[in-house]
Amino acid sequence: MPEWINGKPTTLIKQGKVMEENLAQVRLNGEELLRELRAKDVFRLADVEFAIMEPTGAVNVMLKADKKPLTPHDIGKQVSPQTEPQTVILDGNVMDESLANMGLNKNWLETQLAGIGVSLDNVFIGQIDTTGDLYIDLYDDAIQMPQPKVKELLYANLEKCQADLLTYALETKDKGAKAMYDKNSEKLEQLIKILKPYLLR
Amino acid sequence: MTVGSQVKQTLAGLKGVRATLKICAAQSEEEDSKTVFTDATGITESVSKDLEERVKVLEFQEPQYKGH
Repeated sequence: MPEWINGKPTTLIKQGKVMEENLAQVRLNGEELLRELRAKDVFRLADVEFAIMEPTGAVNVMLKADKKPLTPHDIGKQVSPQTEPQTVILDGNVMDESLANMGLNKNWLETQLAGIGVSLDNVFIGQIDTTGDLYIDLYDDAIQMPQPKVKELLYANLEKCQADLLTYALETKDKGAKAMYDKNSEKLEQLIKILKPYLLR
Repeated sequence: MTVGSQVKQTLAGLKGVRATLKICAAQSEEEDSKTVFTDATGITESVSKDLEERVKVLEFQEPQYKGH
C-alpha cells in the first residue's frame, strides 16, 4: 500500500541516541518511550542500538551487538535441526498419524508404555521429541513418572567403570596389570570429558 | 567376591555402556555428535578388550572361580 495512506516508520533511537525531534513528531514523551521499550523486555536504554516506530504504532527494537541473546551460531556450536514434538497419545487414544510421522508404530508405543509400566487408558497426553524420547502425563497425578534418563545413566555408568579401573590399579600387585588399568582409566577419563556436553545437557 | 569376578562385573558394565553408545550414534542425526559417539564406541571397545585379557589371566590364577 502507498506510503501516503499508511505513513512511514519513524526512527526513535539511532546508534544508541534518542532522536528527540522524531519523538515529538510521533507525540511520544520520554516516559512513553521507556514504556514501549519495556514492553519489548528492554529495561536499560543503554542496551538499545536502534528503535523504530512502525506506521501501525508498534515500536521495534534492535539491541546492541553485545546485548543480544547468545545463539548456538555465536559460540560456533552445531545443533541438529529440531522438529516440532509429535503428540502421539491424547485422552488415552493413540494418534496413528503422528506416530507414522515419526516413523514409529503402535507396537513401539506399546513396548515403551510396558517398559515404564503404564496402561494406555491412564495416559492423558503423550509426546515424542526429536530424539525419540517419550514424555507422558497421566490422569493419576499421584503416580510419579520416571522420565527418560538414558544418557544420564550412561554417563554415570562410564564414571563407575573409570572409578573401578582406578581401584583395580591400586589393588593389583602385578606391575603390567597396574599399567594396563592406569592407561585404560585415563582413556575413560578423557572420554568422559568429551562426552559430558553430549550426555548432560 | 574375588578380583576376577569384580573385573568381570566392570567388564559387563562397560559392555552395556558400549551398547548404549552405539544406539546413541545410530539415533543422532547431527554429524558432529554421530562422530563423537562412534569414536566413544571405539575407545570403550579397546578398553574392554584389555579387560578381557586381564580376566583370562585372573581366571587362570583363580581357576576355582571360573565362570562366576
